[in-house]
Amino acid sequence: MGENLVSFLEKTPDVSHWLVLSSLLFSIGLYGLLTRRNAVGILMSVELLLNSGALNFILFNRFISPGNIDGQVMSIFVIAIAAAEVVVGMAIFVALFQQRKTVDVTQMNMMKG
Amino acid sequence: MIENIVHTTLFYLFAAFAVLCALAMVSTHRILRAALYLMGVLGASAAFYVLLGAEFLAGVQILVYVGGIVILLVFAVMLTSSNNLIEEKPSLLRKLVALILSASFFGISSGIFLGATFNVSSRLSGASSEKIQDTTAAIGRALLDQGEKGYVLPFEIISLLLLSALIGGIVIARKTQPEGGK
Amino acid sequence: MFTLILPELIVILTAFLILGVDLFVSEKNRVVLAPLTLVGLGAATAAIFFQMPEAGALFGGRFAVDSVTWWFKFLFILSTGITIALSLDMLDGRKVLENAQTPRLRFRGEYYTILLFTLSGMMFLVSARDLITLYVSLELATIPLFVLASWKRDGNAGEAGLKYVIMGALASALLLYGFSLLYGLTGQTDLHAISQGLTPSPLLWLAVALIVSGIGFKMTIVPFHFWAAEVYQGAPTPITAYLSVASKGAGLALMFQLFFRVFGGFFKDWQIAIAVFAALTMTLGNLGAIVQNNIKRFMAFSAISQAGYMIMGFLGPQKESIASMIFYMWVYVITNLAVFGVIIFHSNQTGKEEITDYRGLAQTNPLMALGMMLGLFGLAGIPPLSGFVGKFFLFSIASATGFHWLVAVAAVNSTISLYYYLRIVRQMYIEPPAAGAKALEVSPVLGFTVTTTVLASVALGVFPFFYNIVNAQTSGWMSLFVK
Repeated sequence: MGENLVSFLEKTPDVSHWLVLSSLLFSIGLYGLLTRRNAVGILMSVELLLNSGALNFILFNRFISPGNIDGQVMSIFVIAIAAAEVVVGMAIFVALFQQRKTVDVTQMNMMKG
Repeated sequence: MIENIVHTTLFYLFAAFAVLCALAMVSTHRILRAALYLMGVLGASAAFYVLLGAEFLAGVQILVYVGGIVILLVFAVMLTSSNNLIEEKPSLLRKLVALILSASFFGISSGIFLGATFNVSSRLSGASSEKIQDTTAAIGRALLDQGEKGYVLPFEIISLLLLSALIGGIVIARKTQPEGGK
Repeated sequence: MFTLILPELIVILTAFLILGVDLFVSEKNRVVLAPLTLVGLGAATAAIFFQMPEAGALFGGRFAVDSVTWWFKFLFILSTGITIALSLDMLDGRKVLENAQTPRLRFRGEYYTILLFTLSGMMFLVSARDLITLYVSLELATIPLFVLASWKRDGNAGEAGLKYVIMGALASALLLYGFSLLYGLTGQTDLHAISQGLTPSPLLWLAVALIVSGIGFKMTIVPFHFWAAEVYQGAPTPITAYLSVASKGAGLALMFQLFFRVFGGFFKDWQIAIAVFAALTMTLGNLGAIVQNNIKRFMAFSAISQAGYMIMGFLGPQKESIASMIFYMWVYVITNLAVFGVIIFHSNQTGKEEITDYRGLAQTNPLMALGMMLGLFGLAGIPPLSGFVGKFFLFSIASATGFHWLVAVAAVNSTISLYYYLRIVRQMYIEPPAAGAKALEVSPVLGFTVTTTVLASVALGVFPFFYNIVNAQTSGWMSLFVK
């Protein structure tokens, strides 16, 4: 039993373990994105999606091409883009809240054709 | 050997922590707690980055993501919540559809990932000389290098992006003043 | 070498110049900002013509210029320029428009600056040659648009902005995940190196599926189109026009980058998917357009169905597919902007956006009604207008690659689209004007813009000159990627 555990733990997680982890985080983010009603909550779920994308870039950098730094650079850019997205999203939500007193996405149906 | 054991244990510990935080984040109805759980996921991701040998990224993750973006989200929650920061429950149908979609994405993608063969670099285990040792310096050089391996162009583009997000954010969120100044 | 990036530099410098000038002039003198912007855009266009025969790469191959990039950049600059001309009255609050119903847009300097930043993002997008630059410039072309969509301070604009921000963020997250898998498959970020390293595998198809859904949001391809109607309706009308042309052009440029440059070796595998997406998009877009009453929502669905025609060019590596798609994009951009010119003229004066509000326009403002009719017929593709010529080229690509059923679907759809475009023409020409309707005042800028765009749209169809130039320059482009 103990030996099994040791031999299990001696094998460090390889690329597919990491990928399954990132896809699990991505799926959870997707679930949150579809079920949240508060727009800020949706934005948080999007952060989860972007974060798992960044994780992918770093893990591929580590396992597929450790000789260069491209994946890590991309992750830095992803973090910056996430910041820009949150800034813009927050500004829009705050402005909308002043008008409508809610940011519940299920109540966003004032326009109908 | 003991290094490997520690590495693997840490991986599973942090992975479990991240997944639990993520699940709590999407299921809680208190939106501020969701922000706190998001902080947990992002912090665990920083730990992942350390495990993957990207120490600088881990620092950036903590500083910018956890310290900046999540705080911004908390502000957004505070500024846009009227009824006690509690979100109403989504309809059952919506939950079901979301569950089916995300579960099928996870099933399909993890199935593909486990079956796929990557051409994993063989240099990884053996001669570590090929691996970049000082990633921080390498990133710094890459960001300002104009040559073959440099990223000065996207670096400049992203500065434009941040500037325009800044300007746009100010314009949109600014309090409306009466139609003056004309 | 330096001249290669000159157009982008001019656009960015103009943006900073506008931002600086905006700080130091009084509100009354801010009218100079628009001419300044237009001068900057003109200089950028001149720089493109100046570099025309030159092709090459900068920054170690991350930024490259070739025959396709010229035409896309020129198109983006043109559509930005026309959008600025269309926004002028709303931004400056012209004297002639003092009876106008719609509130004016504010913060002119920032408006032009952000518009120019998105333009530079689109220009970098066409020239990007690696995943990272591509993704970053795509975001520069997208994120400022969220801001522009909610520029007006009312609930509808905010709602449009909210939906756009969520959908855009989701699309970019899907795209990012797909890109990360491409990176994982090859360990490369250079687009050419990636295309060399790709072999068919389930993982590749997962990456393609994620990327396609990301692009689908941008191009409003069914089933990723549902955000378009609300965003188009809530956004300020000039921005609606900009979204329907420039944003779609950026989506097409992104498809050029990915489908030809990266996935060019797998034409056989994805052409059937493209055909299905095209058929679905044009059909559902058309069916949606039939039942709309609001003119902006109507134009949203019209734009969706046009996207369906546009992606027909990706069906096969025909010799003329590049030129056909670029030509159709040009035709669509100019014609759509002409129609939007009339819509903006009408809503500036009346504040109304329903289709029935256009009744009797032919009697009150015959010239504007004529322009609108020519524009709508151009979009429907009635011969000899340019829309017909553009569609003809695209249909011939579909039939040359063996997708005869798609040609039939597209032809049926063109007929349906004629029906709903005629609905507006009927309102303008057959219905009597509302009691007491007076002729609406045409501001000089809008009159000029509508006239030139309508004339250009007609000329594109009648004279083969433009198509021949594009075709001559781009015919060899695809053989670089597609075997």
